[in-house]
Amino acid sequence: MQPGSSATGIRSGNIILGNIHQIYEKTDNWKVVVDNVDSLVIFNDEAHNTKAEQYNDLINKLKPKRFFRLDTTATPDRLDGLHPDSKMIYVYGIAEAMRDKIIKRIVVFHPDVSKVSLTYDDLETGKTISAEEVPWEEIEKRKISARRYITNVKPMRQQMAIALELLKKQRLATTNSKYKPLLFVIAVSINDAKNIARELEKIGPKYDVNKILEVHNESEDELKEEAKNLNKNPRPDVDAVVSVMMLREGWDVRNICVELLFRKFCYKTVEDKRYSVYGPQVIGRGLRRMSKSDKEWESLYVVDHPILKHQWLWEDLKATEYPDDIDPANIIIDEEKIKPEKNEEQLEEKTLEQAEMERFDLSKIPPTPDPVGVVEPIYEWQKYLDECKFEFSKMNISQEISQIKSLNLDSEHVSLQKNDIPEVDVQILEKATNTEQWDKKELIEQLEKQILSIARSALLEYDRNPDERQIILIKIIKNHIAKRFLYGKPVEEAEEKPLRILWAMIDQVRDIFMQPELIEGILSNK
Amino acid sequence: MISKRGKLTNLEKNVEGFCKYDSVLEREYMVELERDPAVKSWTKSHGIKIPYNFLGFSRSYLPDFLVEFQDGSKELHETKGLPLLFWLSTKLKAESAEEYCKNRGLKYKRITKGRRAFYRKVD
Repeated sequence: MQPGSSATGIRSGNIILGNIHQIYEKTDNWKVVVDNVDSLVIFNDEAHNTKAEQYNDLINKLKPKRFFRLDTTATPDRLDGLHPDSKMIYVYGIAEAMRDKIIKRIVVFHPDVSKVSLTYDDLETGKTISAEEVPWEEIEKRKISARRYITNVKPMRQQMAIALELLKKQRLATTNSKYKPLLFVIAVSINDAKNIARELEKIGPKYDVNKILEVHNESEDELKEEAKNLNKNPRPDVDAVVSVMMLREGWDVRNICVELLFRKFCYKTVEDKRYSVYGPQVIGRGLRRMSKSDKEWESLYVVDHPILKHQWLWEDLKATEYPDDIDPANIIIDEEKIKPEKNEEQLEEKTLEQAEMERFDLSKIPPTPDPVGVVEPIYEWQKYLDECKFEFSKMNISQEISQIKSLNLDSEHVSLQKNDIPEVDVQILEKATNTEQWDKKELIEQLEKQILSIARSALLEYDRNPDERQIILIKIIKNHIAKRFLYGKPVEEAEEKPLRILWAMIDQVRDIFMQPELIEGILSNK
Repeated sequence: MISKRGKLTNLEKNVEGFCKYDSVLEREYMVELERDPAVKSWTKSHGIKIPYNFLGFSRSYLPDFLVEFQDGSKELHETKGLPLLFWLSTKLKAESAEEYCKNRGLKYKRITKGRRAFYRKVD
């Protein structure tokens, strides 16, 4: 099945290859398959999509003709806990694949933040209302949205600078490769993607990152096409790709060497098992290997931040069976059992360290990390929405980084370094409510657009299926907005001033609806 | 930390082609260096001695690895098991080494093993 070509070819072929859309959209194709093929063996790739209603329906209609069906998917888990209706017969995880070295090895980086300065500016006057300095542990207790923190200008730029330093390193590592390393940046909303791309344009050139491709629903088709074709050229002009939800399964660009996360991935726990889709899927985009050599093994660097609390994800992706098989070709020879040489200096050092043992309390060693918390659905969602707190001021975050750490998921090696902490300068920003020059009519249109996009992304985040349930969510979002920001009036009837304030706050509204536990609560007791 | 000694031979990026190790972590890290495409060469016999002050005594410290990258930049890497990372002597050595490296255009990196060091604060 090929777009634009006739369906008749299907009749004579033994192997029919196509994607589901060529059947959805071209009824001819479907008709020829149903009328002319007696017995089918179905190889159903990306089978996690089979739970989408239309897809499921279609594949069930083929059941009478079906002799055998094999489902394959890299992400069998869905946040809704549903599986393709086939039996799991074989599992090959990222951990094993990493051990077999058929994918890149994952190295996660994050900064250690010692303290954070928070200043709050009045939305209208731009005057600072309050400023405080808090230690990192305190930040973890406050309920600052992770997205809001990480997309705040200074932390955002620092994360970028870390990623750009790492890209530089990857360029070093690929001097003999035909591939040019790319940076892949992941945002949660179109607004964020635009801001991120704008910032990246400012600090990128210093690191020779000049061409940035921004891909999301509102991008021009030409750009989407360019992103799709990135895998066709090992040395594209593009240096970095900023994407929202667009580039997932099927987008396999070997060149991705650094991934920068500006979003928090969620998971759901059903009967003690963790389900997550986006996390592994997004990381998976950068895992295809560039070279076939087993002498050297490429890494995918992922830039994370402690505020995103992704510890569960790195636990899920771990592949800790070390150390002997890191040398797969068995080139290095280990001549063990050589008589230990006792030189004086070492002996002296040992005694000193023993002395310290007594002097310094070993209980200072950090405890094992806490188990990840289980997220409960919010059944009393109306109460939750009525009581949730908004920050009616602009928050500026400035964090002090003490060192940058890396964790190698396969070997568990951790590196700590204080020398590559990026210095970034941030200019004073314009007042939040005045950044857009729209008149009231345009503002209302933009807000309506935002409401639709919040409903859509909320469902995408919840179970990757933005279907007619959007209507329920839109109603709830509009109701929530009217109640909390517009003195009970709908968007189209509200005064201009509260509308402008709402515009400055809309990302906070988005953060609330991006919580799968809220959507679960709403949808389970409509 | 398990103490284990031995020697790796047939090394391609090591300056001498072989190298002794004094711990499991060191042994693993030597293989890491061999396999890292960004690394051009590495050695333990670099002769670098960094003076540091321990409780009023002046001593000198020999960092584990001198690593040269494809672009000619150099780094000193020190492997330390997690408990040792908290010892005062380790901290003092690291501080002196950072200062030493800063003045010579080198970079200093500490290498350890285990997720605890990644997730929790270790200065």
